[in-house]
Formats: sequence, structure tokens, C-alpha cells
Amino acid sequence: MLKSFVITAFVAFAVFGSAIPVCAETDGELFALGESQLNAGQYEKAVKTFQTLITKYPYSKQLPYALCNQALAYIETKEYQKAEVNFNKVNKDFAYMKDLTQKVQYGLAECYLRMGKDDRANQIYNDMLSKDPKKAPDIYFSRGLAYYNQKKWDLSANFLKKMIESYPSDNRILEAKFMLAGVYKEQGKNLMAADIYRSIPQDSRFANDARFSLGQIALKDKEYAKAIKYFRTVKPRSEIYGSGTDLTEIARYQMAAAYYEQGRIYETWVICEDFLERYPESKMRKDVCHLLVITYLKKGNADAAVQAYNNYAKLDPEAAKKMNMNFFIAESYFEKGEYKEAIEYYKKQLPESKGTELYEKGLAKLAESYFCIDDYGRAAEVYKEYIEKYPEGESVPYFAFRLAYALAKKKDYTEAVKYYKMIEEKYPKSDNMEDVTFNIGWCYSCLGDTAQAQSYYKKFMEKFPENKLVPAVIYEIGNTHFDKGQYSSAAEYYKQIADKYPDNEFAQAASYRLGISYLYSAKRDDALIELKKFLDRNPESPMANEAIRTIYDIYLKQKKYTEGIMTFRELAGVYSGQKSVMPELYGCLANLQYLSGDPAAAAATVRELLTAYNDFADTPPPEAAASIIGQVLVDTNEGSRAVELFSGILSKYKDDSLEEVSLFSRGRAYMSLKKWRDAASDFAELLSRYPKTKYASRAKLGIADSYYYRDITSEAIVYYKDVIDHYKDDTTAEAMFQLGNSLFMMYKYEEALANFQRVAILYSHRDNLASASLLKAGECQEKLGKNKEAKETYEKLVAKYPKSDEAAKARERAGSIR
Amino acid sequence: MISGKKIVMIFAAAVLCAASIPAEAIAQDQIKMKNGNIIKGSIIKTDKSGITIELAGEKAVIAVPLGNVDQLIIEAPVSFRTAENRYFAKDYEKAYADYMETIRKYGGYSYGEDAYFKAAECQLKLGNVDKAIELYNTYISDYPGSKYANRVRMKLASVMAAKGDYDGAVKAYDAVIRSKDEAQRPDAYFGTAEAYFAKGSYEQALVNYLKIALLYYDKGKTAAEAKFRSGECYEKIGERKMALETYKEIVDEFPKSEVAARSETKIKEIENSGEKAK
Repeated sequence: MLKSFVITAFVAFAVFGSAIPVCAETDGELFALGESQLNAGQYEKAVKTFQTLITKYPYSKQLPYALCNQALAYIETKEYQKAEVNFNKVNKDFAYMKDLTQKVQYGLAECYLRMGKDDRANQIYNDMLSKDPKKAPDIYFSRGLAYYNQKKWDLSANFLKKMIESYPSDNRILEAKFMLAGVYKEQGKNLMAADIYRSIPQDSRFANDARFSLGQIALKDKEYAKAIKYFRTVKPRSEIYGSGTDLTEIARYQMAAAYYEQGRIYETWVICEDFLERYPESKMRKDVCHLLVITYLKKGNADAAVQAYNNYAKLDPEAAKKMNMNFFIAESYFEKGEYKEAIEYYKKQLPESKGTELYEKGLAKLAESYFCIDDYGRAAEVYKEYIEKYPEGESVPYFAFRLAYALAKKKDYTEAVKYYKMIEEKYPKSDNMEDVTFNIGWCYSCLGDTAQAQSYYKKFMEKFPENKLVPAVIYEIGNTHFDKGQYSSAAEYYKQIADKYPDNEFAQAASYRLGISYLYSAKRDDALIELKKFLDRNPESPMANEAIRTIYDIYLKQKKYTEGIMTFRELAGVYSGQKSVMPELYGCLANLQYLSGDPAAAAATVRELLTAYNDFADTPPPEAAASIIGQVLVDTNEGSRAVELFSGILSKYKDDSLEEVSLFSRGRAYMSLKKWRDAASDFAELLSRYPKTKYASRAKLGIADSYYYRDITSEAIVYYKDVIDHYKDDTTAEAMFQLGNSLFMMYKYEEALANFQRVAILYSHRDNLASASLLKAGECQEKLGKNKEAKETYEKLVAKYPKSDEAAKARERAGSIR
Repeated sequence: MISGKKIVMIFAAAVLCAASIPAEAIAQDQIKMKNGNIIKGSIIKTDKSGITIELAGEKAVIAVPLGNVDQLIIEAPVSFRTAENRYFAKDYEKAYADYMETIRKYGGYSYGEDAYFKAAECQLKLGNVDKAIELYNTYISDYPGSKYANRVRMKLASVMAAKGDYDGAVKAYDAVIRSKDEAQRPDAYFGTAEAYFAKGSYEQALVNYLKIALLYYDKGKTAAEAKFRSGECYEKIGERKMALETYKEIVDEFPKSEVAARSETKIKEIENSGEKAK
């Protein structure tokens, strides 16, 4: 370091030819070679070269110079005694060479200073000064330099200051200032150093080095922007470091470092990449590679980091190993949320970092990565390993919580409870305590241990009444009662949520379940009120349709059609703008209207619904709506429209309950159009696909009728009998009547008579059917020759159903019997 | 045209020995060889196989391989002069034909090189961008080692960018960046950055602007403009804080410049935008 000062102070040798031969032979060539080695800082080589000259040419005129230069080289190789010997020899043998005297004196003094013999050095300096006071600046400078080289900063500064202050016009003043600034820099007196560097004139040969040094000071003081400003203007040539040093090279690396410290990743990246291209042989290459690696990592560019790391590993394999690159790459992927890639690198890193702090971190992050990709099985394994290896680690409570959570996620509730309880016992002050208590309750609930679940839920509510999970807990307790069929108890909990936490996320579900709980505890009126309340509060709830159906069922079971119609009209008003709910509402309303004996109102509602929903071309109708639509269209002789509508629904929407009702409704529509085969086909498909369909009896009756109207009477009889034997609903009477008709067609009057008489007696409240049966019974009796009985039957019909169509026919038939 | 004359196809080594004529005042076309020798005569044509020249004073025609040619020393050929007149008269179709005649004769050397440029310019003026690109590509392909190759690549890249072919432009600029001749490298980085910016690849644009701003700081105005554009890139990628710092640095580093004024406007915009810089 500071080689130029050494040269400036001591070396003023004869100038030889500029071309130095590679294989020096002559004394002149050897001297030139030695000198160039000395200047290049190759001191050991210089010592040897000068020694060759001294040995080979003992009488050369270069000998005293060679001895002197070899001594200088010895000083640099710290062989002070050999240097002293050389200087003394020149002093003694070549005292007549006046041009060497001064250099030898300076050399000896330097040598003594380096040997710690300051007294002897001072004696030489004082002798020189007493002989010639004009040498004072030389001596101050020389001593400043000598102490500088010995890193005795205070002493060096002392002599340099003396020289600067006393001899401001000395021609080495700039060197002295620069050196003094260097001393301050080494002492950490950056402000003083910077002041001096700034005072160096811009046109001086030290200006470039001064800018560079100012950059270094700014960097050290963390004034990165200022450092960049200085480094940016640094030129390659250095007066201080010599021709072998390119200051731009160092400045660029330091500029990159300054940008990195500023968080300017792109700038760092650009400079580092340029550096590697521009200075392929640089000694700082590995530092730059290292900086580039961490820059890429900071930027999250893991792939580029890997590539840069590989370059770095080639240049400095040992340091590269210590860098724990796989860990940092993994971290980079982790931060980006690319957990699968992170896992790959954590797995590589763990074997490399066993026994280090990074192993613990890597293990923890590996578990976290598995957790983040929902691989709870592997996450649990790694968390377990972590807890076993680092039982006293600060993060154990957190990781135990994650482990328990992962175990619960993979439905291993018993193990999950074990770890949650471990946290509860070992770390009662853990941050996760609220979640732990809740989750234990939840795990017990999943295990079916209601008592334990409720115990933990209650504990949770008592200990953490303000916790936002409290409503969830109340809801969960309600659910455990609900699931056990304890609807009254369940209702109490659901009511708490509905009343206390009306805005909570569980409020909606709780309100609905409250209504259902009332319903199941036979409190139908309360259920109605609660479900209506639910609809009022949650008009857009996905459970709205379900609630509407439940309300409908309540009215249906209670046969409160009129009240039901009022309620649904009211609801229709509330939901008039809500397309998702209206079909269900209108379907229920139309059904209730139909059942209340007002088919006209039902038809009007159905038409309104069909118009509003464009015959359900875009959205499927709810089942109840589909059913009543089919009924109304058939009733109003719009069979073709019904066939078209239900064919459309069947082709567009794949929903079992909708298909079931649609097949039935279309079959019925075909019947109304007298398309018997098509009707039978739909009914048969319905029975085949849905054997337990609620429309079974009517479907079978439909099949029977289709045979009957096609005159396949024997087959019709089989189906009618099936209906009569297996179903006790409103289809039985019709089947019985039709069976009578079939038997009549087959001339089996006795059996037919029996069937008609059964219908007339059993279903006398169904006027039309009963009157028709009596008429047909009379006809049977006539065919059997029982005219008297026939006449009595006709008269009975006229008396019982005088306004019926059959009464007129009966009068006529009775009159014709003699 | 040359039938009846003795055509001698002589390869480089033979030419170097046989036609070793000392350099003197230009009389006709001259081929300066890389070894310093000069061949005089009348150039007939230039193509991939070499330069065909009728030797002065002899009824011999030889083909000189392009690899041995240093440069052509010729007087402005008639075809080139005519082409120039027509170009200035905006008669681009005819000018193009004359430039092509020059190219046929001298290839990418001397006036031929200028003719390539001007022929491509004519095609651009005529709206035939693809034809111009084809000419540039032919030149680059036939004379890759030419000291003018980078100039052509730069022109090609700018035409491609103007056409919206940003990937093609980046490729052409990249060839300039990777060539040994560093003279046009900053401009090529700038062009690359502009192409990426136009393409919406702001991160890549940023890196290329920074290469100029950081590595060619002594380029003054170009460096300042590149830095300004890097600020815009920072804005585009959502790094408002970095953008703000960049604009402030411009004001500090290039005070009283036009780009500093623009930066001040940007600073106000960001500070007044109501959003906190990230």
C-alpha cells in the first residue's frame, strides 16, 4: 500500500532503457528488472534479482544502487537486520557516492523505526537536521511516512501536520495531505479526512484517488447516495495504488454495494452483471458474484440466484458452502408463496446445515411449507420432528398448535387433542390459548364426545367472553343438541345468537335452525314466526328457498290453506324483486290456492310465474312450482304447452326431483292430449328411474288408463288392480271405477257391478264418481236381467245426486224399465 | 458483357502475389487488400463469391474473395450520383433502381454501403417497410464483419420497432450490444429499453435504461434521459418510491436541464397524487 510514497521518497534511480528483457543477463538488465519488481510490489523477487546482480557482478557500478534497493525490498519483507547490513555497507564502502548518502540515511532511519529503535532513528534524523536545516520538510515527510507504514497513526499524523503547516509550498505537500487524510481515515476521523480529500485540487494527479477515497468514506458512513456520486466519477488511474490497479473496477463494485444497501436492487443487478463481463479476471469477482446472488435472492429471482451461486461456488467453494444457499433459495421461494419449490430446497438444505441455527429454521419452514400446500400429513410429521428436537424452542407452542391443527385437518382428532392439551398444560400463557380451547371443543365434537365438547365450549365462553368465536361456540353447542334430537335445548342456543349477535356470520344459520328446531319440537306457530323472521332478516340467504318450503309444509300439514295463501302473498310482496326466490314462493302459493279449491287463482298465479320466467327457459323451476304448473295447464286444456314446457325442462336441467315431477307432468299432459303411448312411456320411465316416487299410484293409474283407452283391457285391469291393492289414496276410487268399466267391456257384469257398488258406497262424497258408478251399476244390473234392482239403483241415483248429469240419464233408463 | 475477355479466377494467395502493384494516385477503381496491396481496374460486380474486376491495362478479369478485401477506393460511380439526384428530387422508385445498380457493382463497399442505406430509405419512403428490412438484413448477412454493420443493425432495429415488431428490434439491438465495437452500445441499450417499454415489459426496459444511466454516466444527456425513463419504468411496475427517488436524483445531478424540469413535474405529480409512495 502507498507504494508511490515509497518510491517518491526513496527511489530516484538512474534511468535505464525502457525495455526490460524477460531473461536479464547483464548487470544493467538485472538492475532494471529488480527495480521494476520493487515498483510492482514484488519484494521477494526484487531481493533475489538484486542478490544475483550483487553476486554475479561484484564490481559493477550498479552495486551500491543494488544494495540500497535490496535494502528497501528487505524493509518491505520485514527483514530489517538484512536491510540495516546493506545500508551500513553502502555507508562504509561507498561513502564517496554523495547521491546515495541521503537515501541511505533515510533508509536506515526507516529501518530503525520499523525495528522499534526509535532513538537511533531520531538520532539519524536529528544529525541530518543539524547538518542541514533545509532538510526539515524531507525529514518530517519521511518520518510521517515511516510511521504511516508502521500504522503508528498518531505519530504519523504529528509529523505530516508539522510538514503541511510549516512548509505549505513544499512540492510534496499534496502527497503529505493525502497521506494525512489516509491517517484520519484509518483513525475513523472521517470528517477530517473528507475535509482534506475535498481540499485536493481537481486538476491535481491525486484528484481521482481523492474522489475514490471520499466515496469510501461516504460508504463507511452509510451515506450511500453520496458514495455513489463520488464512485461514479472515478477514473481508472490511481497515483496511490499504482498502475496495476484500476480504481474504476473497485469503485464500481463499491457503487453496487451502495445501491444494494439502498435497496436499489435493479441498479445493483445491472452493475454487478456488467462488472463480471467487464472484469473477467478481477480479484473482486467472487465478491461481486456473492453480491449478485443476494441481490437476486432479494428480488425473488431464485433461478438467476442459483445460476449466480454456481458461478460463485466455482470462484470460492468454501465461502459458497458457508452461504447456505439452498436455505436462502428456499426462503426466496417461500416468500413468493411457491411452497413446492421451497420444500425442494429446504430438503436439500437440512442435511447441509445439521447442528446449525439454520437447521432449526429450515425444519420449521419445511413444516410451514407443507402446511401451506395443505399437505397436513407431512406437515404434522415435520412439526413433530421439530418439537422433539427443540422442545425448549421459543416457537414450540406455535408449532404445536400448527401440528394439532394439521392433525385435526387430517381428521386425527385424538392426536390433535393430545397436542392442544399439551399447549394448554405447558404453555397456558400462549397467544393461541383461545383458539386452543375452542379447537379442543371442536375436536371432541368431531369425535362425538358431546359432553367433553360442551365442557370445552363452555370453558371457552367463560374464559374468553369477548372472543369473536363465542357466537360460533354457541352455535356449535346448539348443533350438538340439534344432532341429538334435543330441539328445545338447541332452540335456546340458536335464540341466543339470533338475539345477541344478529350481525354475526352464524346468525343467519342459527335463525333458520331455530325455526326448524321449533318445528321439530311441535311448536309450529313459533316455527312459522321464526322462519318468517329469518326471511325478513336474510332475504338473500341461500337458505331462503328451504325456509319457504318449510313454511309451506307447515301450512300444508295443518291444512291452513287460507292463512298460508295470506302469508305467501305477503312474502311475494316482500320478495317481488328477487328472482331466485319467486318461483318457490309462487309455486307454494299456487299449490295452496289449488288445494283451497280455487284453481282459477292457482292458474292465474301459474301464468304470472310462467310469464315472469319466460317458461323457465333460462332457470329451472322449483319442484313445487313445476308440479302445480303441470296440473294447471292440464286442467286448462293446455296440454300441448305443458308437453313443450316439460320437454324443455327435461332437456335443459339435470336435477332428479325436477326430472321426476317433469316426467309425471308431461305424462299427464300427454294423457290430456290422448297421446296414450307417449303418456305410458313417460309414466313407465318415471317408475323405472324413481321406483319410490310419490307419483307412483297416479303413474300406474295413467298406464292403466292408456291401456284402457287403447282397448287393451286385460293389461289395464292388471294395473288398476295394482293401484287398488297397493295404494290407499285418491287414486284408489278412480282405479276401482275404471276396473269396473274394464270388466264391463269384457262382459263380466257381475264383477263390474261389485266394483261400481264399492265406489258408490266407499266414495259417496266424491259426487261425480259416485253418481257415475251408480249409473254404471244400474246398467250392469240391466245386463244381468235384474231390472228391478236396476230401477232401484237409478232412483237412488236421482234421489242422491239430483243435479248430476247422470241423474237425467238415470231417469230415462228407469222409465224405460218395465 | 465480358464474353470474349480472358477470365481468370484467381484466389486470394495468387492475387496477392500476382497483382502486387504499389499504391499511387487513384486512376480507376482500386481494391485495397488487407495485406496492403492494391489492385487497380474496373469493378464489374460484387457478390458473395467476391469482387469481379477487370484489371487495368490487361484484358483479364479476376475475382477477389471478399475475405481479403480491406476497402474499395473508387470515385463516386455514375449510378450512385444519378441515384442521389433522383433521391433529392423525391423520385424514389428510380433512385432505388440506381442505388441497386451501385450495390450490384460494389456490394457493401464504399459507395455500395451508402447505396444499401439509401436503397432501404427509398423503400421506406415508398412505404415498403418489409423490403427495406430485407435490404438491411441482406447487408448484415453478406457483410457481418463490416465496420458499418452495427450502423445497419441500429437502423434495422429502429425500423422494426416503428413497425411494432419489438422482439425483432430487440434482437437487432442485441447483436449491436454483443459486437466488439462498443461505440453504439449505449444507443443500442436505449433502443432495447424503448422496445421493451413499448411492448409493456417494463422490468426489462428498466434494466436496459439503467445500463445507460449507470454504466454510461458520462454520456450526459442520454444518461439523463435514460434515468428519467427508468423513473417512468419504476412507476409502471408500481415502485413509486423508487420512481420518486430517481426523479429527485435527476434534479440533483442534472440541474437546470430540460429533463430536470420534466422530473420536477413528475415529482409534483407523485407527491400530489394523494397516494403514499410505496
